[in-house]
Amino acid sequence: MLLLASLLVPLLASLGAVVVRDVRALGRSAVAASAVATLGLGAVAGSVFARGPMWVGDYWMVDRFTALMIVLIQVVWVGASLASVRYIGLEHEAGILSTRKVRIYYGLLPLFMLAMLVTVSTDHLGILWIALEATTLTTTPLVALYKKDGAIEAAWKYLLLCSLGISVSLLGLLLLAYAGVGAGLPIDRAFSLGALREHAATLDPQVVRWAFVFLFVGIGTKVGFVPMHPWLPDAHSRTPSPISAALSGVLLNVALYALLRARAVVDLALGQDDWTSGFFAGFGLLSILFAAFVLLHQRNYKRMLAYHSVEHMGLIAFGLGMGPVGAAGAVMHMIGHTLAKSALFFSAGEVLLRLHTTKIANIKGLWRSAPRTSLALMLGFLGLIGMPTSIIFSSELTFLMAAARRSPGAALAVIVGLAIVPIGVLHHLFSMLFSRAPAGAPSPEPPESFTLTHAVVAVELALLFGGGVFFLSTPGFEWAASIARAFTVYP
Amino acid sequence: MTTDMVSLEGVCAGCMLLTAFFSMGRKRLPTLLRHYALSSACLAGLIVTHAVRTSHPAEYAGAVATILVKVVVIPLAILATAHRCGESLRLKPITRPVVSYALAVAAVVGAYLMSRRLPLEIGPTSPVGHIIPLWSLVFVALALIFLGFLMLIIRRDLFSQIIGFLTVENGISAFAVVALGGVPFLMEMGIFAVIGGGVLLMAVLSQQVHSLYRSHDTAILSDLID
Repeated sequence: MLLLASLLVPLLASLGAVVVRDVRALGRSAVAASAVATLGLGAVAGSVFARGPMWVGDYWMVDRFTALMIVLIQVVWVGASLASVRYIGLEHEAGILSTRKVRIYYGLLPLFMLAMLVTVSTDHLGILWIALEATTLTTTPLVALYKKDGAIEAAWKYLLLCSLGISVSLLGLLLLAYAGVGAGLPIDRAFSLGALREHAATLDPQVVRWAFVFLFVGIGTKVGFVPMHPWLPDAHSRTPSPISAALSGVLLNVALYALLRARAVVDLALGQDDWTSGFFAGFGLLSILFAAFVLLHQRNYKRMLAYHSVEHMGLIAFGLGMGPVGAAGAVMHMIGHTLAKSALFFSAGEVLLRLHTTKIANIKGLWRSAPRTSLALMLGFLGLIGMPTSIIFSSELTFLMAAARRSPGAALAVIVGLAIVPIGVLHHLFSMLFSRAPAGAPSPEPPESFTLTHAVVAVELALLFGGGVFFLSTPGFEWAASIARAFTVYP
Repeated sequence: MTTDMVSLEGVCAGCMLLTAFFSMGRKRLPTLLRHYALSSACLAGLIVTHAVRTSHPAEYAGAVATILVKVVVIPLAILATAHRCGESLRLKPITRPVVSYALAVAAVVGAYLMSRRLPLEIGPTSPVGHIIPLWSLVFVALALIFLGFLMLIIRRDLFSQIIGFLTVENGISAFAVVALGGVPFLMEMGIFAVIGGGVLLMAVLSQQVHSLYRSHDTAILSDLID
């Protein structure tokens, strides 16, 4: 019951935005809602980690994987709410966002979080599909919020491509249910992931294979796998930065979660994971290499972060295609990517608030004018490209070790991709931080102060670099592997 | 009775396919919307005939919702948006009608080949007990999906893209009816809600595109390229 009660909190917070008109009060109530929901959902997740899976009725199920996703959503929700108080408040003061738009923002933010929480908490494929599509519907107005500089174009591509992808995935879900009906399940139960897992041995393998193809292409569009990714850099770079952090840091993981839940049924029905692993490893590799080359010539730092998401979703997918050790690495990577990417988008928001530009070429000498934000950007990017001791270093090490045994050629290709990425990223980063402003450039802004956003980023970076040490230890690896076992089936 | 219903089911499915097929060469928005509305009405007919044949009266609600949302509300909402923008109702395909129809034939053939490869059981052994071959109805559903995708590719105006998306969605709805005999009621209503919400957002965005660029041509949406 605590789970369902906690899910009501974002709904109430959204309704609150209809009533409240004061921008500061809206910000404070958003923070309060995220904190209250975190208390409830944290208790649910803690209970699951301590005692095992929890069922609420027929439709809701929380296991260790769900609990991890809930924790990641809550981390980003609290962080985004705190960062929004400053970010949205300043944009409102500057006249960039009207009070009406601020209310839309605070009305949709909790609904977006609710949609993600429902996606990961339900065991019913129909509810999962509806909630996943709801994540698109609740975030499209946020992508279009500024109504300029390509925001409408980004929103259109985002809505059309993701809705099409999710529609294709519905065909996959229907085929899975068809296989369930064929195995003797009544139509209501044929949409239950638990029931499908129980009857997996009697599902028609051919139907299940077709179902997975549609699911992979459909949900893979939402995850941002190449070549279904074109909406991602546009949408993630055009939203207010706290929403970019949530879209990039956690929504992609949530979509991947949906795919992994279905994959477990498919692997059980086929009695092996090699077939689905091929999809993950292949599309993962393609995404890594494509993003690595695109990152070399980026001119917009928010877009650069968005392409990083394509690369990292590729890395996670690659890990998922490398057996149980790779899957444990993928779990670590999900955590590391959420922390690093949300910290970087929050920091990018600070840069945007200060310099009013997203063009890399227009930013010079940031280290001198904004040392705190610069340090956050530096550490965030170093963590993201896998510098020890970040969680991403541990995860990449883990699934590269798995890949070296399972598919050495693929491991080598990933290493090439991972070697190319820092060239582009560090070149752009150093250009922003350390290059000198041209003579006659406008005088620098007032000195930077330590803000609430910096505090959020500092906590996330501490977790990113501290967590890496934990995951390099045996208990850390075992913990990640225990979560991976919730969504993997290996003979 | 059962044989009549099966025949009607086939007629509805065939009519859905034909209306979607012939919309491929149409250039005027009202005509395109009429085709879509007719195709959706046939989908409602498919649901009703299936409900009668299988004695599942709960499915009538799905048929009523289909008529209300897809035959009435969505076409009227799109037309109202177009009128509000004051733009010409003549749309801009990037291919000539002959080429569009040729591509549509290729899409239908592709759907046929795919439907024969899909391992869905045929005849009385099918889980939902069809009398006519299940693959033939699945073929119609897949053809609608393929035609919808084709419309998204060969049209470069926002309204055609919305209709292309809706055609894909109609194909998936048809698949749910013919392969599964529909989906649980609450799930169906949820799907209607998110599809309706999506189309509403698309209509709002198309209006915003028009107010920014004074056009619905998707070729102008090219600021965000690498």
